[in-house]
Amino acid sequence: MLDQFRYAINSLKKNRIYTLINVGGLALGLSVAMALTMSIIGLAGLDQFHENKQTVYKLIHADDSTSGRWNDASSALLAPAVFDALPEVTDYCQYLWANDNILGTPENHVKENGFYVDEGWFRMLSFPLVYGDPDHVLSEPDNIVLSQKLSSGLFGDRNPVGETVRVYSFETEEPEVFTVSGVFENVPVFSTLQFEFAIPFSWYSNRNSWVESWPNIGTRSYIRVAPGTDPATLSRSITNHVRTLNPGMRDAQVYGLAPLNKSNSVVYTLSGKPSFGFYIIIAMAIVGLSILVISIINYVNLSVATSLKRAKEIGVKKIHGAGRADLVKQFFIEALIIVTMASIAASILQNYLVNMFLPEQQPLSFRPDTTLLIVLCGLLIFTLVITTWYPALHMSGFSPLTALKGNTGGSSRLSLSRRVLVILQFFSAIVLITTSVILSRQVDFMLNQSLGMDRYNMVYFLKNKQLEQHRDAFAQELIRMPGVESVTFADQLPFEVGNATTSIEWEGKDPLVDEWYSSMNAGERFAATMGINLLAGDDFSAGDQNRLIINKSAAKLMKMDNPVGNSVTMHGVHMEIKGMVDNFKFQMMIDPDRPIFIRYAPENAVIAFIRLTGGNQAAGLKSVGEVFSQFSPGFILDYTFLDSEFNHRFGQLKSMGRIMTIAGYLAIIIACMGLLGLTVHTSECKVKELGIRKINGAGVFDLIRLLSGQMAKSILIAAAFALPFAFIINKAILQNFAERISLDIFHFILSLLILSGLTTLIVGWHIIWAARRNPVEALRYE
Amino acid sequence: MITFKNIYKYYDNKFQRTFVLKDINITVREGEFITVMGPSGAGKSTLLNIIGMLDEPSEGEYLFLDQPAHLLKENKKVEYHRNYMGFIFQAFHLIDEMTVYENIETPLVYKGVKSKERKGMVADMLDRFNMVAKKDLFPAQLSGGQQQLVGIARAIVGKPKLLLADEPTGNLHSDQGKEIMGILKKLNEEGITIIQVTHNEEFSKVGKRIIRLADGRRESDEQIEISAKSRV
Repeated sequence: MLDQFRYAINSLKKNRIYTLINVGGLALGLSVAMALTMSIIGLAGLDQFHENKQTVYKLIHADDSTSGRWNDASSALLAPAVFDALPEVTDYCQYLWANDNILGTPENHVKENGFYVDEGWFRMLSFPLVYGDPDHVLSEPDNIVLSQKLSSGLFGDRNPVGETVRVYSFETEEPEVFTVSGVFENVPVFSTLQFEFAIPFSWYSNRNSWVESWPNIGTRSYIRVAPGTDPATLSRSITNHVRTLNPGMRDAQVYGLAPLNKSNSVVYTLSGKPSFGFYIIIAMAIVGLSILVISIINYVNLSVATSLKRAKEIGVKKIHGAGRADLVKQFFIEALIIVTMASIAASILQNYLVNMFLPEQQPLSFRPDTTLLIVLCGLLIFTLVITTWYPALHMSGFSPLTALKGNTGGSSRLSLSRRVLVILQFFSAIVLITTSVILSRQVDFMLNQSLGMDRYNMVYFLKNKQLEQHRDAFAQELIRMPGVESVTFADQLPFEVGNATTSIEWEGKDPLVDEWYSSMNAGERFAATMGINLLAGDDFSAGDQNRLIINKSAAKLMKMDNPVGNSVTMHGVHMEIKGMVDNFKFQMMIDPDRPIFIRYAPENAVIAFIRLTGGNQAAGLKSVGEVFSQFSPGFILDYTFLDSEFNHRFGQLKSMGRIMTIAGYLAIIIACMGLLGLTVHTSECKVKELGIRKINGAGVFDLIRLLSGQMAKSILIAAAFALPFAFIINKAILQNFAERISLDIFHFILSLLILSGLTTLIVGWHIIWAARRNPVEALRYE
Repeated sequence: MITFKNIYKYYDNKFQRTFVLKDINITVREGEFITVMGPSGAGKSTLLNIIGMLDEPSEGEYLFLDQPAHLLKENKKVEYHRNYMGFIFQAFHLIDEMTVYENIETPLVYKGVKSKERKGMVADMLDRFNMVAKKDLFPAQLSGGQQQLVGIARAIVGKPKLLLADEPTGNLHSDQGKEIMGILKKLNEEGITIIQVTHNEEFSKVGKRIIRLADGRRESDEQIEISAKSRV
């Protein structure tokens, strides 16, 4: 056995170029497959780490049981009421976002996102505590539980339990002091619940009594049920029970239960249907598999091609008693060595690839997970078997006599089956590169399209109570400062409006229609500061209580040609339409032409937006800092640029585009490596022929044509099949986007250019080298 | 040991049948040293290949050690190659990636001989052909005559009953050729049956019997006088 390995290594050394190409190609293919497998396992494992995932459900509701549109926001009254009334509910918890809070010790401070959570939080969900007891860490209203990361940022490596942290938030006029009661392990990357600290929900509800009423929904509620409880039955009991408590509940409204691990909205929607992450998983799997197959085809093609050179060896061995099994074993050992080398290279490479694929989620540290190990081992064994069987069977099947004469059918001309394999390789490569060109253009288009607003040169931060008290003065003062153009207030980011209401009535509205309409609260100078185009009427100014700005779609919805001055009833209050703005993309992923109602309510618009003068940001930021500390001494200013937040939010889109692009290029490079191998082989087989032709007057170009003719033909055939296929596929993919680029012949030309450029670069130099070789040398070699 | 009954070998084209061997009847007893001669295209190599089970007759019966060899399955043929036959070629056909030692060892590996025994057997061969010093060289580093010595060593290391040699001296100059023929003669005296194909009239006399082929037919089959043999 050891000898066998030694022979194999000798023979691999002897055919160094092929070995390198084989190992390189396989390593690339394997690393992509491994990286994608990890990403897939990660995405598919989203929220799967909770130990109680079988018994914990998120409470969701729909206004109509048949609509299928579920909402996961709930009143803070819901979960406690359900827990008190229904015996099969054994525990509950809820959370509310405490975003962009600044946490500080006398020494330093950080801005982090956290949650207000109930006591059941650490009992029900698998966020293990390093310090503290899960049952009691949230029992005092001034408790705070920190993540390991946050704890070490504030306190270093020491146990911080008992230390105090000051929290600067919108809810208080002065920084509030909390006592650290525990530390939890950093939240895993593949959790949709991402938080760096937890504060008792009661602390929040004591200051915001609105949460404890039925009409106001905002928290997310979880319940834990006794094992064996039927979720459908329990949903009905909950619906019936809430009806007794909440007289305002609509007749058609129903409550439902979404399993904890299937309610993340990334991979599954609330109703358990596949969401866009699910399709990303499928796309990744297809891409990974096709790249792996391309690199395996490389290996097979090269092995079969080089079998001509090895025919003699095989013949000799057969004549001296080597059975088929012996030869298969030999080729298996060679493949084993190559696959092992490739795997080692691949496991180094894939680290970089994972981070390229999912950069928004680094650092990705995978624990030695059994599923992962099994899947990766399976991948390697699959590769090994596939790479071995065809060459081994092909070569060991040579008749010894013909093998000795060197006539194996593995001649310099490609056999039909190998041509088909080459065509298949380039077919997949062309489809991948075309798709990646088109998808990355689509992503660019979505990220760079006009949002109908100006997201650049804009910073925002949460107002605190002191600023709120002097809101107008603060804004006036800021606008006077150098580098500041305008200031407004709003309660949501303008490209991510999540609030919606059904409580809008207008003259002529169909009373049976009960739809959700997006809504927003805003302050003075809203349209001007956001850069939203005002079509009619005026922007908000001071004293505009009970006035609205609507967008074009809202006017169309209400069938108002001249909406300005008309009145609308919102939450039972008559409001006058002051202005109409052009449609802007307040929800990126969704149909852009939806109506939105923007209400003048600066006291509810908790975010301050400051437009800086383009090209003079530094001066503007300095001004913001000065005015901020003048109006709210003792608070810390921590602003965010709107465009960087935009990039952060839509990073997933970007990574999807990036995966396709990287995969497309890799596919072509791997396919070209295979082509290079075949060309090297062809030119080696034809050394004599080339020499003779040259002596008889063939020019370099004739030889180049001779060497590349068949390859070029294969690529052309592949392109002829791949381009229409890519067209159909991409058309289908683009259908899924609300706003899409149109398929342009340019995309296909571009992908062909990329392909031919890379092919020429990788293979061309060798052909030219072979064609220019001195004929005498070639003949002497023979 | 070998019996050919009405052996034919032909290839069918679209319009005609090309005969390579026609109605060959031969019997070879153990211990014989047969030389097959004839002009190019007479069918010598085909005859040798059929005897070596590398090729199959189109018609007729071939008995090897009283077994119908033309009916053997591939697996069985491998067994015969491992246990009863050795081959020597005009072009030596050594494996370039292997050292002299490894080349000689190859048949033993496939025969399943234990590593320790293998060492002894290969060492014997190296000894016998005075190649101990060259055992770690690769074929490309040897002269033609030395390569053919390795070829012979490899062919007989597994102690075959039958040695098939296809123009073993064809690529060698005459001194080297003589040395090789001397070795073959000695091997035959030790009891190995040898069948060789050659063009060389002088070397044909080393054997005990000459079969001449012409156009696929057996033209003559003669035993050689002992006196003629001793002339070489």
